[in-house]
Amino acid sequence: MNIWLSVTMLSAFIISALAAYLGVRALKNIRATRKLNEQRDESVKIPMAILQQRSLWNILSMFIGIIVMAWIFDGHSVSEFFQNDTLRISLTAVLTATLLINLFLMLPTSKRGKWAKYFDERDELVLQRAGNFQIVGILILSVIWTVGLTEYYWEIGSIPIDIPYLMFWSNFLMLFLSRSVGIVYGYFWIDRYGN
Amino acid sequence: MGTDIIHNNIRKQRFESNEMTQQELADAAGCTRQTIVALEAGRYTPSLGLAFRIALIFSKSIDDIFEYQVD
Repeated sequence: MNIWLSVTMLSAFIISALAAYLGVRALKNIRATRKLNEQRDESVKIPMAILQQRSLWNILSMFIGIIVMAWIFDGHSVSEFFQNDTLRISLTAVLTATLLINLFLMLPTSKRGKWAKYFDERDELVLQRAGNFQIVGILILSVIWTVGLTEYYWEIGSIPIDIPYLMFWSNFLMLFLSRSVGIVYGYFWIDRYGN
Repeated sequence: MGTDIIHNNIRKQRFESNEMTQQELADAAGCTRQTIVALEAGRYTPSLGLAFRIALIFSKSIDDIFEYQVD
């Protein structure tokens, strides 16, 4: 048997087993959560936390930033990046603005300083769990870059020097975007099912 | 091992303490109002530190405020 076929089959078996295990665990959690929900007052609407509101605004601002960057980049090739100063400066300006907005919006992420009254242990728990979203986000982006680049540049055998630069940028954006998505999902989860 | 369920009577204690508002309790306990709302609705289990702080604010023992039950 071909070695690659064996590796693929073994990988598929491991992934399927892992998916089945996660599925059973999720079903058990749902059953346990249903029992817990019977004890809870579902009529109460928990007001949005400051961190939750700001994360939503951050997701919106980052999407706008990404759309603007895609619009600027539209019609240009990757190799133009270091040759065309206007393109590079425009993209860098939008990226910097997007990251600065993120920095400003995500200030209340500490129990210290003037933001302390808006941030407590519940917010801290949500923030810690959002880290998992960052790992998954970066992994997904790495897969997209790897598959995309190998498919596109397979025949040439090498990638343009501009690409790693863009990869770094996209990782940076994904790091902050996935954290905000993780925070919003974290509040959605904790408000419904508790910690 | 069963599911941990922690009931509390924070709402009752607030009203018995001169109708203390959620914000006043949150400020005294060092947490946000959202956490107090979630606690009263039984949708958040506090840390041991926060549970003790809340009990201290009402001058009660932790057992008087929180009740542990295994399902």
